[in-house]
Amino acid sequence: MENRDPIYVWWDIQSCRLPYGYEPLRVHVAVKSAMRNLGFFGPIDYVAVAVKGWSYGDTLYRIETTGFRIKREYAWQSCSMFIRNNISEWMHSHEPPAVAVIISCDKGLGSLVNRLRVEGFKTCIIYVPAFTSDRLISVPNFSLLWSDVLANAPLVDPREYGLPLREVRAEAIYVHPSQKSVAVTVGMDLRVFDLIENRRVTLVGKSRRSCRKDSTNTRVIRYGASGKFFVCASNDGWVNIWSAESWHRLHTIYPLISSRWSPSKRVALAIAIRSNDSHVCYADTRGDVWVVELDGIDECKVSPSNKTARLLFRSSSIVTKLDFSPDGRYILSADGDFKIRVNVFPKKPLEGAHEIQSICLGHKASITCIAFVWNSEVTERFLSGSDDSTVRLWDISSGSLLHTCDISTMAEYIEVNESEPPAQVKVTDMCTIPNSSLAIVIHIPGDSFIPTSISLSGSMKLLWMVSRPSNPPVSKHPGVTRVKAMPCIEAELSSILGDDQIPGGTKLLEQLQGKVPTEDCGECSTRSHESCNV
Amino acid sequence: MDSKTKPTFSRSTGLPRKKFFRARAHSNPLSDSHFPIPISPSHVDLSLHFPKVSSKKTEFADIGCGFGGLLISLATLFPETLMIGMELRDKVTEYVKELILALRKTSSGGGEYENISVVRTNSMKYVPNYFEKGQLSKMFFLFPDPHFKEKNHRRRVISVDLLDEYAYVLGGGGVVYTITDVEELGEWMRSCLERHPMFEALTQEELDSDPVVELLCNATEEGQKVARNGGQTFKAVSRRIAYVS
Repeated sequence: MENRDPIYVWWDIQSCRLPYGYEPLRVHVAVKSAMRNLGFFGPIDYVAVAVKGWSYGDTLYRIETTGFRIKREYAWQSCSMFIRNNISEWMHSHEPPAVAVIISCDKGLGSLVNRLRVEGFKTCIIYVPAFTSDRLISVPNFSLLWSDVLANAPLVDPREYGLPLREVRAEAIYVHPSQKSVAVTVGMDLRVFDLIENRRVTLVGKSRRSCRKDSTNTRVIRYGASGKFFVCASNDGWVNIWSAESWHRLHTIYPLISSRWSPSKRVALAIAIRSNDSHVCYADTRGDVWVVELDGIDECKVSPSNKTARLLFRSSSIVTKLDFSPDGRYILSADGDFKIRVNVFPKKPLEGAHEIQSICLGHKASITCIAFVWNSEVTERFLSGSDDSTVRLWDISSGSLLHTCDISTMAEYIEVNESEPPAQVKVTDMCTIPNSSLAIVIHIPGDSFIPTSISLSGSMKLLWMVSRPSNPPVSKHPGVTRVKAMPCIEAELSSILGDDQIPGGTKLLEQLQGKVPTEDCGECSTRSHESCNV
Repeated sequence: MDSKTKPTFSRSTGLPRKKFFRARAHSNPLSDSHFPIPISPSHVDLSLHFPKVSSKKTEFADIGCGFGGLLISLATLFPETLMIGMELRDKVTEYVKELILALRKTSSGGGEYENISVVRTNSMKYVPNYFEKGQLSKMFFLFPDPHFKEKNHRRRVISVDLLDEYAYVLGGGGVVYTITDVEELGEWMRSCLERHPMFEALTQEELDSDPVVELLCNATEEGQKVARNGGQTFKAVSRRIAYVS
């Protein structure tokens, strides 16, 4: 017999958060189907508590359109108090039988839930295991994991609600030059796996709060070419330099407030480390490029006098990619106007880089990746790939375009639907392999898995790749990124290594990919596409 | 050219009349306007601009040429040099185009004014698209928009970053001429040029011996207005030198 008792749901958004890239419209369906599985089929009433002043993007709007009532609190600490008061009031005005579902990690809910049970209400708590205690979980009638509830929700297409698809930031993978560690950014999350010690590395920040911020708020990361340093920039403007061997935090660059009239934090969009580890440059959202001198940074001691100065002022467009040439003489910056500017890196970088060596014009869409061709015969050339489906070869000192390669013809991409305009095959990342060949990763629209980033470990000759499911998703599991590796011996790419053949094995995959769902079969691109309706 | 069918042209001189081409003084240089931009300097079709001249490259550029007063004066002073004006406003560029075409037709000796032209573009963003490295020998910035508020200072056409780009397109020895009637802006431009390691100010003797310098004040409409009102002008003229660290 179906249980038709009314169900009331309270959701504390700041304690049980949505994973990056998760469509908020799915939450109400997720809770509904979780209740159905438990045997409750009654009408559901939803309340969500958010913090005033925090930026949620359009998440709250999307949650509201699906039927949630949003209450705003002034501070994140008072959200749980609000829920407790609300539930107490509700208890007095409502009669059992009814079902109370609380999505929160508040440890103090124990007594309240006890009272609800005593009065005859059915109670259910949905929680995140890292932040709750076991005592709380044993009290209510049912307890579910938040990640389980979210993962089992059927897919919702936001276009049915009249809302656009959400943009998900691409994943990036970086390998230490001598393959001592692998770092992956999945959305805002940074996961680093140390291959020598075979464990996941937690980057310890200055205090507990900033520690959380460092690993869950990352924007862009980079390894130095010598393998000693690792730089990571977070979304709220902090740039941290770590030692890539001992994982100690060596230096922090504080978010800068530009001036009184535009008090915005400078968030770094691109980072580059010079090959002799003397300087780190990063580009911020305003378009300026900053340089930090690294002399004096050592394993143990931190020199407090490391200076930061503005290297390049770009008042007219933002810089999307930054790179140093392998000999350290030039710094390249690709900007939003589809050109790459090559500046001579000056002897006194703190005074700014004023001499432009060349400007490389020719791309017709935004530039996504830069790779260098540097061996004993050929020097001073570099390649750039962009969203206009081409890879172009340039000469560094003159800026002239030496060769253009159209990827869509090479990949034999045939458009499936002739009535739609041909979609662009985008070059997402590329990597030069030292025996003068090139590995390019492209995004063909319509594929279910999109490889987003590749990285080469110079010594061990392995090419690492990270890919993510396409947007809109065609399978049930939302943020499943996959990490793969393939050996590249003698200019031929062999097949992809199996999960147990990757250095680090399944432990590495588990740590870097996140929870791998059990139904997932090996090569998902062979699966038939499921419909994504509710 | 039948002046009856073209009401925007004056009957007596055959030149276009300014009142039909008026436009607002301000235009946002940071917005993405929709006009065609050459992909690279080699894609610039000079035969469209200078139909009777071939195998030469533009050497002078007037950034923000307005109604073209300076170009017209310079055309006769340097008849062998190709010059181009860059202007962001649509209507004003139309006026200058029509003016140049009319002057070419009505020129007395024949063959005058064939060396000037105008293009509608955003010079803050697209100067490298038009000129190769070291192509220009003179650049003019006459009475640029002062952008008084400090938050708008980054929109000024002379700034440390844009001077990097101008140093790139000017060859060694190329000269930047600036003039304004706003004292604060004049001070700003002079200090930007002084601070920049690739520019060196011209001495007073060099300024006196340069025929172009007097044109800065009275060749353009804006300059004539300032002279009429008895205002003061502030010049800053610098030569591009090799990088000195």
